[in-house]
Amino acid sequence: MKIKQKIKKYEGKIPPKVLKDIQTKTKEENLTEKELDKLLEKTKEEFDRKQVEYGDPVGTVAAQSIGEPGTQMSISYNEKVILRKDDEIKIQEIGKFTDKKLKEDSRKKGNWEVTDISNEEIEVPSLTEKEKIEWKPVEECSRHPAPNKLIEVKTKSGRNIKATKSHSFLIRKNNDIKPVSGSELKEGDRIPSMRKLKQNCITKIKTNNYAKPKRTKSKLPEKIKLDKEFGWLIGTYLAVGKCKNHVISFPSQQQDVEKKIKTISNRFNFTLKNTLQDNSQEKDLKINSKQLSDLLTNTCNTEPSNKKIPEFAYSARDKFVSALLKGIFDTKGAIDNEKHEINFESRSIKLINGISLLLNRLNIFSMKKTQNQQNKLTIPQKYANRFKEKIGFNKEYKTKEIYELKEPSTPDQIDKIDKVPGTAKLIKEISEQIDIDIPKEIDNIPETGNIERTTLQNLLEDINQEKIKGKTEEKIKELEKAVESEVIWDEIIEIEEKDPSHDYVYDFSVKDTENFTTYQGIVTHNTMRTFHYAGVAEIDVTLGLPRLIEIVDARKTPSSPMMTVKLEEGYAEDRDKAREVGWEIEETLIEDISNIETDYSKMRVKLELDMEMVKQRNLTKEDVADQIESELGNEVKFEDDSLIIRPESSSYRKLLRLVENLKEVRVSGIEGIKRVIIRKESGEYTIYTEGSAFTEALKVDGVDASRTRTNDLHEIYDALGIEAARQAIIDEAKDTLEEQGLEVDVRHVMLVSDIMTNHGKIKQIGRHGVSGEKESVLARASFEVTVNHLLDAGKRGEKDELKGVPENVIVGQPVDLGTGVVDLTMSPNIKKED
Amino acid sequence: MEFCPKCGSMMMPEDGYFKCKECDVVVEIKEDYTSTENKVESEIPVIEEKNPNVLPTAEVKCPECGHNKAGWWMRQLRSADESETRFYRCLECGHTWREYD
Repeated sequence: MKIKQKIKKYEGKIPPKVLKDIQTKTKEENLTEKELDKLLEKTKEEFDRKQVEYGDPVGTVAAQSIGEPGTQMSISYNEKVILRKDDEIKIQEIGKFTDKKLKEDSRKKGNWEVTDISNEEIEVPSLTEKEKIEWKPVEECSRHPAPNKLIEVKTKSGRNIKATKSHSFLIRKNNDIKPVSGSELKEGDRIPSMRKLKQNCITKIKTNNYAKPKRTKSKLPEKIKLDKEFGWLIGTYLAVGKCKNHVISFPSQQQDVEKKIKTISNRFNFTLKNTLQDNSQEKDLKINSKQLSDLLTNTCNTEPSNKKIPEFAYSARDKFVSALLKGIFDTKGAIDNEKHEINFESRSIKLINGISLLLNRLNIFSMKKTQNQQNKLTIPQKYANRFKEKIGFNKEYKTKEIYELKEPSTPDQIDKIDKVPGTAKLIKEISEQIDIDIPKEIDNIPETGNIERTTLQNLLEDINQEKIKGKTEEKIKELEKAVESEVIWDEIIEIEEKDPSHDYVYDFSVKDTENFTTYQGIVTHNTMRTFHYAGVAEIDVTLGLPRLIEIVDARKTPSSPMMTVKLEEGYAEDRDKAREVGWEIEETLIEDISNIETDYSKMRVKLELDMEMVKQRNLTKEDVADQIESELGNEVKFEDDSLIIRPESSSYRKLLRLVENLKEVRVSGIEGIKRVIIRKESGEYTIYTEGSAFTEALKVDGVDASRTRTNDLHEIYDALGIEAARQAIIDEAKDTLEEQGLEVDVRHVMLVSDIMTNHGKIKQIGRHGVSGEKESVLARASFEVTVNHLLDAGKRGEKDELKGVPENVIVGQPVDLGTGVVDLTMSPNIKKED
Repeated sequence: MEFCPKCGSMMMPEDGYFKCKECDVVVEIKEDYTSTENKVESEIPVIEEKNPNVLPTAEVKCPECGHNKAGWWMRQLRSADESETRFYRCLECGHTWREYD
C-alpha cells in the first residue's frame, strides 16, 4: 500500500510509463521503502536533467553544431587550470579533472562527452567585459577526440598554451574584448594574461589533510594558522630548504634567518640543531619534526627541480602570500639595476609558474624565461613600488637596493609587454578634443599602435584634472578601463603546430563570460557562442509551389519577406562592422532594451534601460526618451539610467495601456525588420533579415545597394523600377524552381516575366492581371468567374475573333497557330507532269 | 491595487496612500505594488560555417560543378506504379537535381 502512495507522489513528475516500470521492479526485486525512495528520487533527477531548455541544441541541429569542426574548441590535456571550491584553490590539469568528472556521469553529444557540474559550485577566474578578473562558475566540462594538430601559442612574457585551432582566444579591438579563433591568431597579436587575482581567503589549514602525525613529539597543532611566520617559513623552504626523513634543513647564511627560524620552532616546540655542513664551514640549521617534514614534502616537494607552491597558498590571505614571497625573494631574489628588474631563478618550472600566480594575487605581473634548465622569473621595475609595499625584504642591503631601483631612462628599456592594444588611436582622438601633453615617444606611434600602461596612466592623471563632458568623457572612460584592466595584453611571439599528446582535448563552459584562465594566466574563450542558436540561425522562407504562386500572382507582400543585404568593402570582411550594420537594420523596441517595471502604487512605469545595449545601438538614454515623447506624447523623466513615464491621468487602465504602448516603441532600426542573422559566405559577411524594407535598408551606411536584394517584388519595383522588377521575377522564379531540382529553360520564365511587366507595372498572371485582360471573351470566361465574364460581355455586346488558343479549343476548331495556321486544299484532278 | 475596506470600491494611489474614490478612506501603502517584465534578450547571431549537411550522402557527380558527393532524399511524386523521384543536392555548390528512373 505504501509503495503505491509513494509512487503516486511522483505522478506528473516522472512519465507514467516509467512509474509503472518502477512499480513492477519494486515488486520483482522486493525493494525496501528506502531503496524505492532513492530510486524515485534518482529517476526524477535524471528525467529533469534530460529535459531540454529553450536554446539547448537538440536533435539534428545539435548533432550538426557539435559535429562541426568549428565548434571543437578545446585545450590540451596537460593545460592546468585554476579551480576554486569553497574558497579553496586547486591547480589541476584540465584533462585529469574532466576525465574524473566524466567517469562519474556523462552524456554524449556527437563525439563530445559532456557533464554538467553547475551544482558543484566550482569556479574559475574569468575575464569580464569590463576587463576585470572575476570568479565565475563552471557549468559544464567536456572532452572530445583530439584533432590531428594542435597549436601552441607562446607569449613574450614566457607563457604558453596548447589548444585546438578553432579554440578561440580573446583579443582587444576597438577598445572592446572580442573572441577570435586560434587559426586566425598571428604573431604580434596580443592576448590577455591575468594580472590580478582576487580571492576570498582561507585563514587556517588542517594539518592532518597534508601529513599525519607519527610521533607525539614535535607534533604540529591540528590547525595551522596561515600567518606571516608560517608563510615566511614555506617561502624560505621553497627557496633554499631541504627535507630528509624527519629533518628540515636550512643553510643559515644570516643571523636574521636563524633568529626567525628559532622563533618559529619555539612556537611549535621543535628541537633545533646547528650543524656544520659536510666538507664546509657553513652551518646548517636543522628543524626536527617528522610531521612538518612530511607536510612540506607533500605540499611543496623536495627535489629542487620539482618544488612547487603549496596549493593552499593560492587561497591564503594576502599577509601569508606576501610573507611567503618575502621568504623566497629574501633568500634567492636578486635586483638588477641595469635591466631595471627584480629576478628569481630556480630549476623548478612549477615553482616559477606558482610564484607568478601568487604575484597575481598582489596585482604584480611577472615574466618567465627558460634557459639551460634554469628558469627565470622577472618583475619589471614598474611593480617595484608595489613589491616594496606588499612584499619587501628583511635583508637590509636588499631593501636598500630596491629603493635604489631606478625607472628605466631610455624608452627602449620600458616594459614592452604591458601595452594596451588600440590605445594609440584613443589617445589621438582625445588629444583632438582637449589639450594634453603627449610625450614624444608616443606621438610617433601609428594609430594602430599600442601604448604602454604606465604612460597611459600618467596621461590619464593629467587629463583628470580638467573637467570634460560629452563624447570625450566616454573616451576617457575607455582610457580608464584600459589603465585599470586586470589583464596584461601579452604579445604572441610564436605559434607552432604540435601533435596532441593525449587522445582527447578538453573544454569548460563558464557562466556568463564563456572564458577561463589557465594556470599560466592566459585567458581563453571557450565558445564562439554563435553556434548555440539551435534552430534560430535560419530564416524561414516560403519555397516550392506556394512561392511560385506568390511570384506569378505578384502578391503585394510575400508570405515570408526577407532581404539579403550585401555589404560594401570595408564592412563585408569585418565581423564587428557587419554586426553594427545589423544593429542598425534590426528593429529595436523598448521591450528589447529595458526591463519594464509597472508601479501601481505610484502610478508610473519605470524603464530600466540596459545601457550596454543602448550604447551598442549607438543611442543615448536621451534618444530613447525623445523617441518615447514623440511617439506617445508622455513626458519622460530620468532616474539614473532609468526612465520614468506616467500616464496622462491617474487611471489603472491608462497605466496598463501605457505599458503596452511603451513596449512597442521603436528606438532604432528599420520598421518591420524583426530579426537579423549574419552569415559568412565566401569570405564575406552577409546579413539576412526577416522582414523586408528595401528602400530603407539601402540607405544604411555600409550596405552595398548594387547587390542587396529582397524577395518582395513590389519593393524592388518601387525602389529600382520596372526593369529591375522584371529581372527580380526571373531570378526569384528560377531560384524557386532550381531549389526544387527542376530545370526549366530560362526563356519560359522570361516570357512570363515580360508579360507581367510589359505594361510598366507589375501585373499578376490571373483574373486581375494578364488573364483578366485578354481580348477574347471565351478565353477570359474559361479562366475564372465564367458567368460574370459572359454576362458582362453580353451586356456590352462583345465579339470574339477566335484567334487565341482557349477560345478555339472551346468551339472545337483548329487553333490559328503552328500547323493549324495552314489551310490545306487538295485538288485531285491535277495532272501529273512527266 | 486595493479596494476600500469600507465600501469596496477601487482605491487610487495618492502621495503614498491609497485613497477611496467614493468615501475618502485612506490606507497607507506598505507593500510593493510593482510588477516587472524583463527584456527580451536578443543578439545577432553570426554564423561562420557553411550550413552543415543533414542529408545522407551518395557518390554521384554534380552536373554543375563536377563534385562527386551529394546529399539525397526521395519522394513519391508520380503515380504509385512508378518509381520514386530521387533528389540530389551537391555538397559543394548546392545545385539540386532530380532523377526519375
